Order: sequence, then C-alpha cells, then structure tokens
Amino acid sequence: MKKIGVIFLLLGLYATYSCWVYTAGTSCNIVMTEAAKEGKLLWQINNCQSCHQLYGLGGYMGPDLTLITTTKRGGEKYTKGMLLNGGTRMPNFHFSPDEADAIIAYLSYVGNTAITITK
Amino acid sequence: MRQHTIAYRFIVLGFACLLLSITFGLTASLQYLFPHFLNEQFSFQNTRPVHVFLAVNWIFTCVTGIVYRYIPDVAGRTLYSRKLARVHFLLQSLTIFIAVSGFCMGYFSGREYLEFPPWVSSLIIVYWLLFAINFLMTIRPRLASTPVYIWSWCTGLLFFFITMIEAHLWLLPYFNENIIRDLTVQWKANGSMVGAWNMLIYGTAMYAMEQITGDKKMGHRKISFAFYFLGLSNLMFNWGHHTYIVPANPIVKQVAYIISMTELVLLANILWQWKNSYKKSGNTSYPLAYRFFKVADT
Repeated sequence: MKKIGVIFLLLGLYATYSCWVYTAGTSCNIVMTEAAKEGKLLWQINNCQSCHQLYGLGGYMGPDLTLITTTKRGGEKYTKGMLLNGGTRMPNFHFSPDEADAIIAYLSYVGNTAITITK
Repeated sequence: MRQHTIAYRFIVLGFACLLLSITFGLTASLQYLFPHFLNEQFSFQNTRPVHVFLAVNWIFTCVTGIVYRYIPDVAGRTLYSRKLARVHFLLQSLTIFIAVSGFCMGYFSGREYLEFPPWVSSLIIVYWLLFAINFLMTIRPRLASTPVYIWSWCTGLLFFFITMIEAHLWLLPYFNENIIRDLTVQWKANGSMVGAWNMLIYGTAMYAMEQITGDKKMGHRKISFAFYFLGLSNLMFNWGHHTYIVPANPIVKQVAYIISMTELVLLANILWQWKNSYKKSGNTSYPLAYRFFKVADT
C-alpha cells in the first residue's frame, strides 16, 4: 500500500506543478498580434525550426533567431532579405513580401519577449 | 516460435527504421557539410525530420517488440490477443509510412521532434491504446506482488499518453499565442516523453538482469523500487533543465536543478556497488585505482 501512496503523492505533485507551469509559471504580458500569429503559422508549416532555434529549441543548420530582428547583427531589413532570397545555406522558400512581413512580425514578437523580460 | 512472430516483426520493423534513419541522417550530415547538396530538391528541412522520426521509431518499436516477446513469459500465460497485436503492427507501420511520405512531400506541423501533422498523432494514440490493452490484459498486474519492471512498463505506457496529449496543447490558442508558455510546455512534454520511453527501457533492462542472474527477488527489493520512484520523479520534474534560457518563472529552473542533482544518488550507488563487487572478487591487481575510487566515495 505504501507504493500506491507514493504513486498518488507523486501524481498529485505532478498535476499541481503542471497546472502552475501552464498558468503563473509561464505568464507573459506581451500580446501576439494577428500578423505575428500568421507568421507563426508560416514558421511551422515551412518547418523553420528544423534549421533554426528559438530560445535554443530547434536545429543547428542555421542561427538561433530569437533576437534576429531586435539586434544590430540582424534587423528587420536583413531578415526580410534572407526570407525573400535565401542565403548560402538557406534555400529560397519563395515567400511573398506579405508572408515575409508576417514572419518578421512573429520573430519581433519573440525577440520582444526576451528583451522585455531580461531588461 | 510462432507465438512470438509478431514480436519479431516489430523488431525487424525497428531495424528497418534504424537503417533508413542512418541513410537519411547521412544525407542530412552531407547537407550540413555541403549546403548546396539537394538544397532545392530535398533540403535539410526534409531530411532532418525523417532522420529524427525514424531514429525515435527505431528505439520504441524495438522496445515494443521486446515487451511483446517477454510479457507471456512474465505473466505465465499467452498474449491476450494476437489479432490486436497484428492490428497494432499494421497501424504502426502505416503511421511510419504516412509520416515519412508527408515529410518527403513537405507536410509539417513544425513542432520539434513531433514534426508530422497533428492528425497523425491520433493514429499513434490508437495503436498505443491497443498495445496498452494487450499488455495489461496479459499481465493483469496485482499491485501488491508486482515486480518493479512491470511498474516501470505500466508507467511508461501511461506517461506516453499523458505527454503525447500535452505535446498537442499548442493547438489551443491559450498555449499557442504565448511563446514562453508554448516553448516551456513543449520542452515539458518532450522531456517527459523521453522519460516514458526510458521507463519501458529500464523495465526491460531490469527484467533482463533478473533473468541473467536468476535472482527472482531483485524485482521486489526496496532498493529497486527506490530507484523506480527516483526515475519517476525525474520523468515528472527533470525536464526544466532544457529551459534555462526560456524566460519562464525561475522556479521552473530551480525545481529542475534540484531534481537533476538526485541523479548523483544513482552515481553514488554505482560506485558503492562497484566497490563491494571489487572487494568480493578479491582482485588486488589495481590497488591504486581502488584507493582513488575509495577516496571519491568518501
């Protein structure tokens, strides 16, 4: 019976901790705009995370893009150029200018969450 | 032999996944070295998910085959339903075919490690349910007298369902529209899902050890259960160390750090067991190395 007790105790702790992670543990004040939502969808259906990381999650073929639009190393113009033309390692995905803008809106949203919280 | 045919089919399927995974992995690594190699026809964006999906499938398809092979021996009765196992095999083979074909044609969910479209997950849930039914109906575990490896297998089966559902919470706007929540929960689900597979592997390893040593009490010892609960705690709470750079609440990182440290208990136990076995063997060939280990223990 002790074993069952330990199992239920652990399951209870796991459920409580999960609820906390889903709510207070991951709250964020920055709102995702409609353009950013569209950009996120494009990011996912084109499997961008296969090569790029956001906050360290993703592949290593390309650079981490968490701060790409918000730092001097990148910026919105540079990112748009890469999205519309591809690069040495990156294939040309033939995004339209609107699609490129939506992806930039998403990456800007991601970058802002990092900057705002770490300030 | 005939009664184990389905188990061997799973193992053969697992090895086929391994061979294909190596092939696609090699292609992806060539693309890493030579970025223009198949860049427009079949880019890294396609080869990587195929490689990862097949590598993951090789592990848990083989473990499934091993569990199907040995559960009749453990339970002392024949498999509950061979027909159900055959349906499971067909459904799993079909899922692998659909997911890999989808990746080749460019259908993605864009989620790390689970890059197939979300509806493919429902097929996985169905065949895992068939596996769980067959397993539980064959074993019919009695909790008071059940050895630790059956606890391990049952835990792996249950947590695969929990984590698979959790990995799809992004389909809800509440999770999808907050990148901090989305990434943290994604790491949480993926990390614990690996823990669920590990539970299946630990159970298999523990069963194999019991068979090799012939010590039937091994699966019932307090120390075996202590390590099972330690493994379960790690499955539930250890995922957070992947999220050190995600700006979630610092408590997530602190919990993960504390739980990660419990793995030192495993290391200490390995050293302790090794020291005892060395003493028993009476081997005095390496006294200096032995003294170093003794000092490390202290």
